[in-house]
Amino acid sequence: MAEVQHAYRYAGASALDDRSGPHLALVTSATGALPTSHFFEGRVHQPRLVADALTAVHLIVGSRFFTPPNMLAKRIALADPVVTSGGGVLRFEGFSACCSAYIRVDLGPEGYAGEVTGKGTTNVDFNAPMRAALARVRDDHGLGLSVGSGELTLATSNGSVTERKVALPERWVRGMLEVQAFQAGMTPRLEAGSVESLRFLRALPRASTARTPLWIARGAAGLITTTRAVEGGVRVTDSTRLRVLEPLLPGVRHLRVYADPSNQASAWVLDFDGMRVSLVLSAETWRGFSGEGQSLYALMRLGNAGNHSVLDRVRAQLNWQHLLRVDGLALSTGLPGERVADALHALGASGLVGYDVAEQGYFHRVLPFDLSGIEDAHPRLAAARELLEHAAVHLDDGAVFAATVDSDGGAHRVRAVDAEIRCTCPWFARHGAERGPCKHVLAARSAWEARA
Amino acid sequence: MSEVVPEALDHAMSQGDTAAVIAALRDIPQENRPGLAKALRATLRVLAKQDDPHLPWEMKQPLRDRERATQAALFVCGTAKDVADHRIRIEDAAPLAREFAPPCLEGLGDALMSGPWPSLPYINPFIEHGLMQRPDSDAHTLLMMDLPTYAIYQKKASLEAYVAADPTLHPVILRVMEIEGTSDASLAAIDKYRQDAWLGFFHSPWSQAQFGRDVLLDKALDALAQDWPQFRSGWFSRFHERMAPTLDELHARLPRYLALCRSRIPPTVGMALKVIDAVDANHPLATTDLLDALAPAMHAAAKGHALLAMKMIERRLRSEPHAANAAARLLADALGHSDAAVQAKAIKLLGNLALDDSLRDTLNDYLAAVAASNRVALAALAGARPETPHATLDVSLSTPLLPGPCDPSREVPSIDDVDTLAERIAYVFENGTDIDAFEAVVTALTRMAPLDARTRERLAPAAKRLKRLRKPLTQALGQIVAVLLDVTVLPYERQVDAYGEHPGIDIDILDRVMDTVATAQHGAGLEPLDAATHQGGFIDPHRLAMRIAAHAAAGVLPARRAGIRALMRLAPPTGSKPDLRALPDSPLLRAFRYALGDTLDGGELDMPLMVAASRARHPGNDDPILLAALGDLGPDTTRAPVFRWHVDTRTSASGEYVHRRIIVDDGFVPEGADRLLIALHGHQPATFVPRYASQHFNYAGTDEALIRFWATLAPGCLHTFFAAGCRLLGNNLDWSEAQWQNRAYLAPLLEPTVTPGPPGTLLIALALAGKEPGQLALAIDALAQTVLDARIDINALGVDMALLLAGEHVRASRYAKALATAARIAPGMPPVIIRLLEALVAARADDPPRDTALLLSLLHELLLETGMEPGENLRAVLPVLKVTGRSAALRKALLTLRSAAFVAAPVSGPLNFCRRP
Repeated sequence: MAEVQHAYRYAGASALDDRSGPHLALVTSATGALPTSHFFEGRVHQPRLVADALTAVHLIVGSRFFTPPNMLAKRIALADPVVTSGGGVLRFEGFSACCSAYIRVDLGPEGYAGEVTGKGTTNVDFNAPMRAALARVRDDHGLGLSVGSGELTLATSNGSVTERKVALPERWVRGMLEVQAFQAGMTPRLEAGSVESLRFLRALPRASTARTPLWIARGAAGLITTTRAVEGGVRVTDSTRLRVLEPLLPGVRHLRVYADPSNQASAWVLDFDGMRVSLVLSAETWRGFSGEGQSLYALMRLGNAGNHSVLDRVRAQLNWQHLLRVDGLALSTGLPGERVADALHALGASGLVGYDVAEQGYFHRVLPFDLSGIEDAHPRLAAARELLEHAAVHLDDGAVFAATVDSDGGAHRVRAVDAEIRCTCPWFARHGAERGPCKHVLAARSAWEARA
Repeated sequence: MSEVVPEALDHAMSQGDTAAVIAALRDIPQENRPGLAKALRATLRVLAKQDDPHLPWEMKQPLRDRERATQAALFVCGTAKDVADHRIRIEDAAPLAREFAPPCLEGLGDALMSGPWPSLPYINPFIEHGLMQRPDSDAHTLLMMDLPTYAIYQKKASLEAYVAADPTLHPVILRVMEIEGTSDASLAAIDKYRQDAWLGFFHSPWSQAQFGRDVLLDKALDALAQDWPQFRSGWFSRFHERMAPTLDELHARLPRYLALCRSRIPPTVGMALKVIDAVDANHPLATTDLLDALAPAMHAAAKGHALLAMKMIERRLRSEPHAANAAARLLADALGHSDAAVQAKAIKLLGNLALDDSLRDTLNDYLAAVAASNRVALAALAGARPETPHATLDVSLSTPLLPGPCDPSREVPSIDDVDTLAERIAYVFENGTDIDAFEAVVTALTRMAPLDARTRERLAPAAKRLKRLRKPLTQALGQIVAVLLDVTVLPYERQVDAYGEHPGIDIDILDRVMDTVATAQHGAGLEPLDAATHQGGFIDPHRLAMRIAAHAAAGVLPARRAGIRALMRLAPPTGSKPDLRALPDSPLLRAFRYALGDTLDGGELDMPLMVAASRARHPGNDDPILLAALGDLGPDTTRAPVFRWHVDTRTSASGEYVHRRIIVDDGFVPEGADRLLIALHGHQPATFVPRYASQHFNYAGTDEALIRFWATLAPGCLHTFFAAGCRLLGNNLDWSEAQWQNRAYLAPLLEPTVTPGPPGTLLIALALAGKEPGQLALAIDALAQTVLDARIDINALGVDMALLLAGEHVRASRYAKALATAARIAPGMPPVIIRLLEALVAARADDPPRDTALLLSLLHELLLETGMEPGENLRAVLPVLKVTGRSAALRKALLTLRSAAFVAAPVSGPLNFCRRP
């Protein structure tokens, strides 16, 4: 299994200490020459809620909802959560060890009183003693929060930096990237209040239903589950992944559930005053998010002639904004909206932007991983480009999109039927369009668009 | 540098003489020994290849001796990794280490821990003999989890005695309480099978003296604070309970228990609440601390937690009435709990408090959320006017218009071009359970044969895929494709089930493949007679007529088997019957006419064809005409199967274990039955003798696609199919074996063209009591769909469910949960669920099964929510129901529903219910 080597450089461990009241001091990983990244000093308005939300992030990061049959029994320590400060919003992102659940806590200006002291993205230390201490946080005692440390604190403390190296599975890193593209395609499907949400989640099976996908829809008397596909419903496998939201639901204003058009992944967004928690679930626990081809069309188009500068021009606009929308960027760059959308897809796939499904927009953040070592970030894209280079695509004459693609010692047909693009390859036969296009479809579409 | 093994050593190893090996080693200078390692490894590899697994153990002794001798040599000459890679006995290693001080001792501990056999029985002896230090790592701690097994089986001692005797364990043994472990190696997992060895050890006087009670209690609380999964956390709550901390010990750790009230793990929360209750009763906590800790319990899933928390609040309010406002806010949160009893308690406590306007508004917001039985009381508190009579669930039931089997919406799409054919073949190869797609492909391939060059080119990728097909139905299609493409036909791999049996359906599938290929090879553009034209396996009579005509026009005599299969799949004609007058007479045509309702014309009868026609003409019923003409040929021939079932209960000699299984009888295949009576194949042969008590005759085996395929063979009547489902699902309700494929027996119940009949009804009754949540969800959907389509006899379902419950084959708690879910799926479900609940409550009135309270509670709530009146049967049973406690209170509440006058509301459909004004 390919790995991405990563090093944490923490000057201490995150902890709940007592400096004129309970204070959560989150230690950030040093980036570049700076000994630490310092993002925030202040207090949160809803201590108990923030504590529960950060606990949920830690739980997801340490969770494995699927263990491959040949996996060793011992746990693999994976990445610490990632914290981003930009536009006054603090975001904490986490990804499960099995790559099937992504969580993000967004703390906005309405949720805190304090000073945002820096912008950027880095890892943040979450540890078991800190989480245990979070259980003692109380609203009436208040909670201070610091994300990173100021120079003064470092100067007065034993500020030696400890380096800890981890080997992140490439599959995990790719999943962290791909989950943004999934969210970009999602639309709201269901909404529920606090009591209904909690009761519904409690009524979900306590054992995994990974083998039998359930559909969640609004029935005669509230949210229901069924094994039958429902228009406007949300498909979920293994609802045990949702249990992490239970402690948060009593205080929620509303729960909104989003799903992508192919009904694969879903996003469960809890709205509070000044804070939002988003939990994104993959289609299957064993599948994760990696290997999904949501960004492939965009990446392919950007590689075509005439589009090479699009990515650079959009990237030049990034400055830690907490909300980036296609129309705004199109205005500032003068580029067509579709190209800007492609560029944002590509930037998400490169870890340079994240997607906020509730705001239906992107935010600038730079995942702190060295992605240069991932040789085949998008194997299907590379394979499609290879097919084009070898002139393996033979477009049919005529106005209707159809092509024969020489591949794997044979020839596959790619054609448009009823607004769907189909291929005769086994990959498409198995997955349909649920996981993005196969390499033949990608190559054929690219050739078609080039000809057009 | 690699050395040649000296002859003496080589000879000693080849003789398996370890003593001689040691003597030979003494003659080899120390500096020369490492050079021999490579050759010794090679010798061990050769010896490993000589191991014959089929030889009896005693015949392998010479080989074992040679291995042992060589391992001893390698121990002296090799590295630590060599020792780790090749299991050497400690009896050899220990004296060799003392005499030779070999280089392998350096780094031995790390090598063994990272070697291929990191097990306690292998590694511990090395530690005990001083050949390595005891590691202090997570990996070693995981190994230590299994110390009870090692102590009992290797050391023949209790865990306490063993640990006490090994000082190297004392500094590290507590580490087992610091790591979560794995599914196999955790304190909870080991204790489950070792009679709580770890619990006993840490609770023992030795441990308490060695480590101190404070340390042990703190370790337990540290672990509980980690929120490990419930099974692993539960060990620590049980340990805490066994330690029975004193009040002083509890009080000293009070902040930790307060924090544990926020745990995600219910048993941890339960433990923490009990502690706080005990401490608070003796040393009252500060009110703010108490209420803050109890706040999460108001939303706890476990009803007991919420009730205990409210008990503590009530106690506090007695001593501190000024805490009423803060307490009231918490009590209001409890109204969101799903359990009616929790809500009722909260309402009762709130009723004792003075409520301000803001709180009343909050209570008002909960009115729609609380159980119907609590609404009036809550409305009074909130100062609101409750809606009467709480008819919040829509109970309307419309008469559905169901599509028939040959409805155009259910037609299997025709494949007319080669590109679509290529796509669909690829699709079926990857999705073998889509039987409709399989049928479409078979039809198209046969019709397009012989395949021209362009088609062959397009299907070349499919040909490439043939080697990778693993599932039976895809292999069957693969055989057809292979023949038509003139490539190698790969064999069809027959399944073997857990009992070593092949399912009979394989033969029928292979017969169909042969017949289909034969039709295709005529090259006349014919469709197979027996390929489905509509979903579920149905064949439109008009299409069958066209196919027969096409065969006749092409001068092709259809295969008799294909004709039989086609008749079995015949759908009832909708509208006009096909005109068969122009078709040439044949046994098939005569049978076809008979299937469509014609009389027998007195000519010679082709028995298998006529029997197949009989099933199409009388699905699920006897055929009196053919019974008289041909006699009783068995179930699903000239007569329908007779379906019977009962629960067989056996108790062990000691009386401790009771085993129940459901026996389903739908008739046996008579001896000597004609093989062409294909519908008989789904029945158990009279000669079948199960070799195991759990074994059933299983026509379709364990492959989901084949089960789904079976359902399409005679789609007009699935009674035999459902009976098989009853046997398989009904005897695995507790999911003691993962049989994912069995959900295929439920799937047809979702189709509007399927009538469950008695076996299908029993299947639903059984599946609603299943443990596996996915299968249960499917059963609930099947119940809802058959009800909404008016395809099921609810009274019969109620009878079956009641019998199963009375016979204790199923649990009331599971029925309650399933029916609660079903009641909310669609409008029109609640009256049906009420009827079923009434039947269940009456199942065993003199000795109600466990958890009858759950059924009564659900019934009560649904009657209130719908404004309906209890039925006649329930009114008769309630007074004689022998219940106590909560069940008795619910019975009383139900009896009081009788007193209101009611108005019968006319309703279309099979149900009649009464609605209160």
